[in-house]
Amino acid sequence: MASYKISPQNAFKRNFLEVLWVATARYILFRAINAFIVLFIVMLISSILFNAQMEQQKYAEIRETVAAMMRNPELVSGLNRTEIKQLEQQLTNELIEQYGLNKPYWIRVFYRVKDIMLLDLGHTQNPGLSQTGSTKVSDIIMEALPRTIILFTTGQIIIILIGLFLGLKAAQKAGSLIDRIVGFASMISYSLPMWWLGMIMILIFSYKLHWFPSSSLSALARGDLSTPLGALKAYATAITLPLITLVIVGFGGWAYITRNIVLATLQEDFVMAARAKGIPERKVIYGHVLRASSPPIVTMSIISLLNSLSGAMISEAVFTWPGMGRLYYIALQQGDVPVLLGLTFVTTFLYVFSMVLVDLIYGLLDPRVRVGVSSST
Amino acid sequence: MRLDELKTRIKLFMNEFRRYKIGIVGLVLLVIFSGIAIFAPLIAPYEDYKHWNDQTYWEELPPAVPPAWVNYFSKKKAAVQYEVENPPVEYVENAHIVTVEYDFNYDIPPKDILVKIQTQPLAKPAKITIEVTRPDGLTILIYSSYDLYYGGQMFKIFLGGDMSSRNLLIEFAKQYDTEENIASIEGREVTIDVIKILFSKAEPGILVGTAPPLKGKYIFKIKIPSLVYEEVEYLKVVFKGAVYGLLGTATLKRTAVGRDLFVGIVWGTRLALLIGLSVAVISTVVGVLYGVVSAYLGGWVDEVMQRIQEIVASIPLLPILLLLSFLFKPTVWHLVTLMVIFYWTGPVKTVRSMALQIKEQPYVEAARALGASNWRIIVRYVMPQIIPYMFASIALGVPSAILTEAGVSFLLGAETATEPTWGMILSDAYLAGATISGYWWWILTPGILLTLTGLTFVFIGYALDRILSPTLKK
Amino acid sequence: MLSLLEVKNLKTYFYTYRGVVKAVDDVSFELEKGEVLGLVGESGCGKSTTAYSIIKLVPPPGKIVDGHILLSNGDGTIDIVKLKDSEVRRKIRWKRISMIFQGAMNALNPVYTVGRQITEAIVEHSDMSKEEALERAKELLELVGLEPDMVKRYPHELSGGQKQRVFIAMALALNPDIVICDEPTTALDVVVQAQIINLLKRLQHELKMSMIFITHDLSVISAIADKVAVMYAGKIVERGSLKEVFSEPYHPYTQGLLKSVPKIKNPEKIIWIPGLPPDLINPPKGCRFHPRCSRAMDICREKEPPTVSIGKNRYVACWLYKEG
Repeated sequence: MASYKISPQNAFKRNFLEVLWVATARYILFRAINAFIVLFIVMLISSILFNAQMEQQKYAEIRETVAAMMRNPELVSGLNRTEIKQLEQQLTNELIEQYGLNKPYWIRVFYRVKDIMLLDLGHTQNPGLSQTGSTKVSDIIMEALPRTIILFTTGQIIIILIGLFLGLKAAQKAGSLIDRIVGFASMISYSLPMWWLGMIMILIFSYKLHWFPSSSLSALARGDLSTPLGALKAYATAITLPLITLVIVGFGGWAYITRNIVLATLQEDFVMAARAKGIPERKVIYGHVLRASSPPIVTMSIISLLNSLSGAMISEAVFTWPGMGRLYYIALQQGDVPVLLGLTFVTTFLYVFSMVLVDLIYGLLDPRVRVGVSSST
Repeated sequence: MRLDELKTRIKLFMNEFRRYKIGIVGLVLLVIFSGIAIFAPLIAPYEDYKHWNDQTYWEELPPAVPPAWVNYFSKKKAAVQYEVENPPVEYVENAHIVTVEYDFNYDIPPKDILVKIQTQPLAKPAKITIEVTRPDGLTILIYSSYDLYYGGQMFKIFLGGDMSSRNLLIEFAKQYDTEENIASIEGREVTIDVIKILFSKAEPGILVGTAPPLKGKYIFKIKIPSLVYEEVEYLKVVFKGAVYGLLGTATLKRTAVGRDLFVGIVWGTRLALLIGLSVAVISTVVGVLYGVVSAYLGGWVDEVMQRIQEIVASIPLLPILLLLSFLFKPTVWHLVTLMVIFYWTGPVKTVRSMALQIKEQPYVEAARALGASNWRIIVRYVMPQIIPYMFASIALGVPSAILTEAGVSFLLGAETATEPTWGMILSDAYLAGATISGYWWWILTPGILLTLTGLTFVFIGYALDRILSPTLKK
Repeated sequence: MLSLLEVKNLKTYFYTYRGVVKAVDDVSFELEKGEVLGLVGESGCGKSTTAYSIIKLVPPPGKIVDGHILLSNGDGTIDIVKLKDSEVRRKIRWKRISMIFQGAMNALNPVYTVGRQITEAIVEHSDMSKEEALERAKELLELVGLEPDMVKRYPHELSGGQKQRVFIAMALALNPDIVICDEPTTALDVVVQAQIINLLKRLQHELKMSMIFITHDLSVISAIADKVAVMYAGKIVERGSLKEVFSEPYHPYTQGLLKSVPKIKNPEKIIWIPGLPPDLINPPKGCRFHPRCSRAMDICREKEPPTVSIGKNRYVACWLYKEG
């Protein structure tokens, strides 16, 4: 599979760096372009689908604006009925032209996609979505996004730590109790709807035990956000239940993937060789084995992570955690198209570029990829 | 690898499968679920399911109550559903009095009392009254009709909600309660549970619901003018239980009416299995064929097909699904189609590398030398080796499909659905505040079933995977 | 005079769910200082397991169930079998006995540089700092004929032969008393094979290393070994100096092996040994070779032949021969 080997006879000092740079950069570039294509296609399709609705909205806006203008007495004084009608028509046409609604279909769609790709996400009718009252979709999403990231990232870090540890232990003691637990946990991971577990958690810990508030929003509202300690406490209370839910559902998958990959790695000769060298078992496992398994673990885990993203977003709705998931829920219930489009864009963007990130990380971890060993995936 | 060899392989495989207990568990569960799905019409009436969102259909059921068997486990017994049709009647001076006896030996009173009277059209409007004699000897008038009844349709009295009965009962309660309590409910009369008043001891606390229950025999007398009574075709009194059925009830949105969860759950099984299996099977088959063909044709066709697959695979499922579902308000089958469009990309890469490997094998070369066509080679040599992987892949794809549908349904809500899936039932639950009101039966059942169905296929897939990936066997 | 290494009645069994595999069943041999012992036999006869047993690296479900592995230590000996695992790891492995694996392709960790893998062994067993160890690693690479700059390389950048040289360098890092070579050339092509063998010969000569050389390839053995031990089905059937065993093989199996090697000088018909090696869970009763032996007698089918000495350091386990 090697595209070319560096023969040791080459002086590799300058060449090596060049080659490293070009090979990796080319690979990453390829994936990045792929990502852009996907993003573009997705937004194109979405824009086409929503075109009718958005334009209806625009037309309604125009009618309102014109009606408001027509109420201005100065404007209409001294005009008879026909002339008033003409004026109305004229104003309407001007606005239509201004908004570009009279251009051919494909140009209109193209402009919308262009706007979105340049991060102009438009406005929403609903002012209640943003804490600052802004109606700019980008503002609204930018408020929600960090919250989702906080919840999700914290959860993933915990999941990774637990999952790696358990997976390693399970691989070392294959067939033992811990191995079976990991296997079972992964099955639960795969079949348990995260958002349903969320509902159960609320039922138990909020309704029955009253340990936590049933909604993150209310936890944040009740808390004292002015002092750092108070804010910390409020956030901690708000985030605990969703976090626990995330971790319970998530760690099984990671643990199982780690376990499988590590098990395969353990069969490799170099593990036996390392032991023969007298390296202590702990260093063999956490050094050689883990390091050698990390590229496939990382890729598979990030893929599973992305898959769990959807479950996590729905869970946000259940916990009313004020992130993207919840925004989705509200937007869907209220039929807020600009927000939906914006959300689609941001989510797809995150999704697609995390995959590029995965490739980057893989390249960092696996020297075989770095030096262009695999030119095609 | 020839076809009869395949048959022996299958036999060997079945033996191997027996070794994995977990696979057997999965199979058993699969049989159970399939049984429920297939025999659904025998277990729960289809009429019930069809009318899931029909308020009138479900009017006799209490809203959001736990299953009946809860009574076995709690110290406080809840009133069970009690229905009397065409009860005994006697003639007393120009009126007919319908008598209904009700034994209240519970701690928790019924949720409501519903009286339904169906008559022919009447010449004159009728005035109906209801009186009840309690075990403590008190006789109360609990209903005196405001609505004049002209007959020809079903006349329904919901004693818990009817203005006339509410006022009568509240006035009754005020006689026995403290000044304090009376003052405390000022302005909040609509929140009072009047049925509870009816079944509570006549002492302080009765108005606010803290008085203990009055157990014993209650005698309800419904007085109907004789002229009207002649035209009565049907009369039913329903004491809506504080518990109901095998799985409890789920409230119909924005009403005080409940639906039998058992029906929804049983029939939901069909949809869950159908959705899961269709998506998994179709998408896997498409993906496998795509991979094999791509590997087989090779060259630039392969390249292009792979690029296409990569792009489609990179599209995140949920946002698109939500967007599309929002626009089209899809039926379940639209959802299935959409999911297939995304899921087919899954097996492609793996299958392609398997096919590439097989392509290089000497027996394939030999077959080609003997003049076998591409198609023949694919069918006879490549597919038999890929089919086991395909089955494992299908098995593991089902839970994902079921959960995705449930998730999407949950987010979108069940407004348009006449025949709900488990996800939609959960969506209703959330919107009805089941989590904060403690309606555990509404939340637990659909979710546990979702998980179990998922696990069924995961178990089977896990066993299949183990058998087919000997590298992981220790 | 004490041998450097003496293996006495070693038994290593694998406890699998299908039964107990008697991979090494009562094996004995000695290795003197500066000697090369060749351990020959078919695949699956237990050669590698014997090697792993010596450094107690037998993977589960294997276990050393009996016997002694005596390593001379100053004036006395250590019985490796009796050592705790941690002691084996610290005192024996790599420091006193190191190993070269078959197929260095996979014996080197692909994510660590070659240098790192060598220095790791050095640092683990000595007081050297990382920098000192790296210097030593460079020296070692030169010793085996590689560029010292290679310490920065990753295994996948090297050819098969280069990887094996790296491994040899690594095996010599701590100046061990014994180097076990487990089929070091089997996975290489013939030209590279010759290079590696020559390298090993040169190193053994220069450094006066003691080696146990495991292979199924008789020609390789003849190029490098001083002594030979022939293994079959978990037992040693014949032992002696290279010359003695190859010119005058006593055991029918050894004879069969030698006859099956094609000769360039006097081409004869190739005679091979009929049959397959036995199942080690249920080996044949009596002599394990008897089902394939053309000279099997009744006693061979009943009782296992003891190892008898028929000359100075010359041993055979066959009913055809008696002591002396």
